[in-house]
Order: sequence, then C-alpha cells, then structure tokens
Amino acid sequence: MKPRITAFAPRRHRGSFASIGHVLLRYAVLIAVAAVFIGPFAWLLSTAMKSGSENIFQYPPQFLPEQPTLRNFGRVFQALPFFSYFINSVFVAVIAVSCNLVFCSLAAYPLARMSFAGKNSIFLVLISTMMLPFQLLMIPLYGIAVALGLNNSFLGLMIPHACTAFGIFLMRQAFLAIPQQLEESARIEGVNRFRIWRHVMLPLVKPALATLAVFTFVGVWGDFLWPLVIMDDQAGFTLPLGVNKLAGAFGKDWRLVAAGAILSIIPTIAVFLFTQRFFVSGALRGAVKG
Amino acid sequence: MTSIALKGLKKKYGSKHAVRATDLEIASGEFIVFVGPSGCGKSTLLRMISGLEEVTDGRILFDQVDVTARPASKRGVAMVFQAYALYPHMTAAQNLSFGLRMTGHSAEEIARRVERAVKILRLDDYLNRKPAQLSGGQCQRVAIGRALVQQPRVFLFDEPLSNLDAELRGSMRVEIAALHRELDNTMVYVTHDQLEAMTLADRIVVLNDGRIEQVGTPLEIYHEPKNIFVAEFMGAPRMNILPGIVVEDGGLFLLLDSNQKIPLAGGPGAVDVGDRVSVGVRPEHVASSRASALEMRVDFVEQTGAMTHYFGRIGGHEFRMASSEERQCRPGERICVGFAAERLHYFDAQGQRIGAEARR
Ligand SMILES: Nc1ncnc2c1ncn2[C@@H]1O[C@H](COP(=O)(O)OP(=O)(O)O)[C@@H](O)[C@H]1O
Ligand SMILES: [Mg+2]
Repeated sequence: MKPRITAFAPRRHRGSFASIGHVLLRYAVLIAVAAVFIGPFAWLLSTAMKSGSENIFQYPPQFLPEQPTLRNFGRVFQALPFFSYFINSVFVAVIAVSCNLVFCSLAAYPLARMSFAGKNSIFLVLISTMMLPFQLLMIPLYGIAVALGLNNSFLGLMIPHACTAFGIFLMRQAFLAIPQQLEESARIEGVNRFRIWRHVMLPLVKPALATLAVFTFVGVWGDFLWPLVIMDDQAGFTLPLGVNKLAGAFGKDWRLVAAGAILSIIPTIAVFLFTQRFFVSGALRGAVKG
Repeated sequence: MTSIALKGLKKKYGSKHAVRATDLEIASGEFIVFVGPSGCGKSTLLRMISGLEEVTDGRILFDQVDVTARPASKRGVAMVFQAYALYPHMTAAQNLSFGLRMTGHSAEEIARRVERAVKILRLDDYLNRKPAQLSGGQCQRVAIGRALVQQPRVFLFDEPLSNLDAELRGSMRVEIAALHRELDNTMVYVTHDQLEAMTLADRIVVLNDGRIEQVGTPLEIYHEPKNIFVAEFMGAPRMNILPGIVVEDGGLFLLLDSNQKIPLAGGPGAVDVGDRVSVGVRPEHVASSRASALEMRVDFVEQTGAMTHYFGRIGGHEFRMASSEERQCRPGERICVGFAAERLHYFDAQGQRIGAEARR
C-alpha cells in the first residue's frame, strides 16, 4: 500500500483570476478544516494555562489566558502519581503495539500469499468483526477475562489490543501489493516461508507497519473504557484513568484536567513524528521495473 | 547436466486451458527456447518445470526421475524473471548471497560462489548498490548472477530481456549465449521475440494457444515451418501467405482471388487441380522483377539501412518484400514482384505444410 498524496500536488497555475479564486477557495477550506481539528486542542491548552483566579466559564469565552501560567502542569504531578501512570501507559502501549505488529503481519501473510481451504471465509469473518463496536464486545470480553483470571492485570488490559482485525486487514493489503516474483525467487532458492516473511516481505511493508504502529499506539494510549472496566487497582492505572481521577478528586478543576490531558497527549505526538519518516513512499522502488 | 522430459503436461486455470497436453524431450545441456505470442502459455509451461506452478495433469522428469511432486526448492532449478525480481532493500551483493545465506551455506562457500558469479558477469562495480540505483541491464545481470550462485542443474529464463532497450538486448543476448557455452547447463528460455529465439536456441519450441506447433532447430523452423502459424510467426518481416486454387494452364498454377496466377513449377507432387492451397514466400526471397506478371500495390516503404521493406497488397492479401537495394518505388505505385519457385512453401486448406522435403 503506497500512500499517494495527489490532492495537493503542486500544479502550475496560469495567473488567471479564475485559478487564483480556485486557490483561495481551496486554502479557505483547508484552513477551516484545520481550525475544526486544532480548535479543541487549542482550547484545552488555553484552559491548562489559565491561572486559578481566572474564571474559565466566563461569557463571552476568553481564548487567551489573562495571566498565562505553567503552574497547573506542576500541580498535576502533585495531585497524582502521574509518573507511575505514565510508565504503566508506556508499558501497555509498547507491548500492545509490538504484539500487534508481529501477530497481525504473521496472520496477514498466509491470508495474502498462501492458498489453503477456507482462506476467504476466514478473511471475511475477520473483516466482519470490524463492524462490531467495542461497547458490544465489552461485556462478553470482560466475562472471558474474569474467567481466565485476567481481570485487574496488565495482561488482561493488553490482550484485546494485541492483534486486531484492522491490523490484519492492513497488513494483508500491504503484502498483496508486493510483487509475487520476489517471493518466488526466494522460494526457488530454497528459503523457507518464515524466512521469506521475515527477510523479504517485512522489510518491504515498513510503511504499512509504521501506519499500524501509529494507529495501534493512538488507540491503546487513549483507551479509556477497557482499562476502566478491567483495572480496579490504582497501581495499574493508565494515563486516561489517571486524568479522569483528576476530574473527580478535585471537584472538577478543569485547569488541572486540561493540563493532565495535555501532558498525556505529548507521547502520541512524539510517536507520530518518529514514525513519519517511514510513511515516505518508494519502499518498493526498483523491486520490479516496467 | 540434466535432461528434462515433459509427458502429457497440462495446466488449466478454471476452465481455461493455459497449456494443453504437452510432450517434450529436452536433452542434457541443451539451450531450448519457448517462443510464441503473448498468452500462449510459455510462462505457464516454464513455471511448471520450475515447480512454482502446480500441474493439472501429466509428469515432469529430470534425468528420468519424476519430479512432478517436488517443490521448486528441491528441483535444483534457478529462474531469471523478466522484471528482475531483485530484493529492493538489499544491495546487489546481498541479493546474490541471500538464498545461500538463508539455507545455511558456509561463509567460505558463499564467498567462493559469489566471487565466481561476479567474475563471470563482471558485477564488481555495482556490488554495493541497491536495485533502485542500477539500470535495467545491470539489474538483469545481478538477477542472472543470483541464478548462477545457486549452481542449479537447470536454468530457466522468463523473457529476461524484454524490459531492456534494443541495443542492450542485443549485447545481453550475446552474453547469455556465452554463459551457456561456458556452463554447459541445460537452459530453458522463454521469449516472444523470434529473433532472440533464432539466435540463442539449439532448438526452438513454437507455442500457440497452449499447444506446441513445432519443435526444431532454428534453421529447420525457418526453412520448413510445419504450418502457417509457425511460418508467419518466425521471421521478420512476416512470411507472405497467398491462398488460392490450383489450376491447369499448360502447367500448374495457383489462381489467386485477384485472378493473378503464380506458377507452381517444381511444386510438391501432392497438389492436384482444384485443390485449395496457400503458398508462402518470405519477404527476403521476393524481388521486383519485370519478367513477372504478379503485381503488388505498395502502401508504404520502410528503410532500415541495410534492408528496405515494402509493405503492400496483392489482391486482398498483405504482401511484403525485403530488398537490400535501396528504394525502388514509392507508396501508391504498383510493381511486379517475383520469386524462385523453390522458395515457395505450400500449405493445405488446414494450414498444414504440404511436402516434407527440405527446400533451400
Ligand atoms: N494465475 C492465472 N490465473 C488464470 N489464468 C492465468 C494465470 N496465469 C496465466 N493465465 C492464463 O494462461 C494463459 C497463458 O499464460 P502465460 O503462460 O502467462 O502466457 P505467456 O507467458 O505465453 O504470455 C493466458 O491466457 C493467461 O491469461
Ligand atoms: Mg509470460
């Protein structure tokens, strides 16, 4: 799967009014969309930076803090064992993302490249599970977790994230896009299927792996509902549960909640920046020409 | 050195016959070329020999041993693909050694084999480059090198030169021929290019619609095509085919539908007055001739330098003449063309050759 960005490819415009109007309109739409997406984040940031004396509910709303302060961020660390929640979140996310990458690409490879009875049915069943919302699965899932003695444990928290239908689907499509002949030449040379998967296929689907890593990370990092259900012990709380506690413990000091939320978003941004370079297409350049 | 035998080999995709029951014996050390138009089943046949494709029916023998059920990796074959199929994330050197590294060969053994391939194919200069930094010709040499290090019993090539430009194709052809002389392995080579087939092959297998039309040395195929398909497919420009009916007029003549007559002096004994036959004559055996009554309307003229090709029609049928003399007429003109009667090929109404004796 090669992401292709064509909508904004630079085009040479003749300097006619029509095309200038076109460009203006396009940028206006882009700016509007960007505002819709960035707006809530900016609002959160502004709330986090408002000092205690400021009324955050005043009308008309005040966007810029009167006396911007970073004190709220410090208070988050005093109010909560924020650092230990952070470590929990990192632990859960790293394991879940790693498992997801390994298991999904292992499951996707035969679905893309081997022939066996029932292959298409298996794939269909997998895909159709993507249509079920988590809320529907939550209660039976909880039942299973309890029966297995996995409630209130990291394992129970991570397993539902460890291999997803979406991930299998994504990796299958990525494997399908790799020329068959690369694999065939390895097969003739006597390389076994697992090594082909590991040494030929995986290096060529790095962009898809990066995509999957980001999606999984964002999903696991921000997951609130499942940890809430499965995790009773505060020592095992992840960041979203911790931030939620800020809201309860301090009679809803929204400045604090906002600061906690901002702090917990930072790793997501870092992960995205780090994996971005893998999205650059061209991983397959030169594989088969013509 | 390995001989190959195909016995009743068949491949069906659903209800489509990609390869119909095929029997073929390939001698040890032979360079055999499968040639035919696109979609005729050449690649399918090659892939069944390699073991990449399962057979629907029939058997494949290597040195009289049945290998039909053996996987590709256990047959001792190496394959070179049209699209090179190099691993894009590895350098040329890593590409060469990958298969050996993955199958537990010792480092010295790998180094020895890679070194030999590098020497034979002169790959030194681009060993550390990745495929994206190599030209098509260089990629294909690396791909051939990768086959070489496997030290296979049989080399299989699937249109290895089709992605290269004409000049490179010519020089790579020479190299592949040299490689065969040096290694003496059995090689099976697929191409749709009849020139490649003629120049490389010990024997050519002409395929059409999943069927073998003819097997023979390049000159046998050129001089004695078994049927109209082979006659037209091999040779460029294509052989001229003129259908007509045999008449008696103080000797045997072929009466064309344009009412022109071609004398059949020295023709095969097997034709009789009233038979519908086609005669074929290669463009290079046609010359303009005032003595002839056969008139061709020239539609266009192609100068290649060495040869001039005239394309036109006789009656309703395409007719081509190739001459080493430069332009003798212009498009739109009519010229009289002639050819020696012994240059004629005769085909019956089913397109099969009449008369088996050599005609040179
Ligand atoms: N995997 C496949 N599935 C279905 N039909 C195929 C497949 N591979 C080849 N064919 C068909 O079999 C015929 C022969 O194909 P092929 O051997 O690739 O031809 P060639 O190499 O001579 O161009 C073609 O008609 C092609 O459409
Ligand atoms: Mg082919």
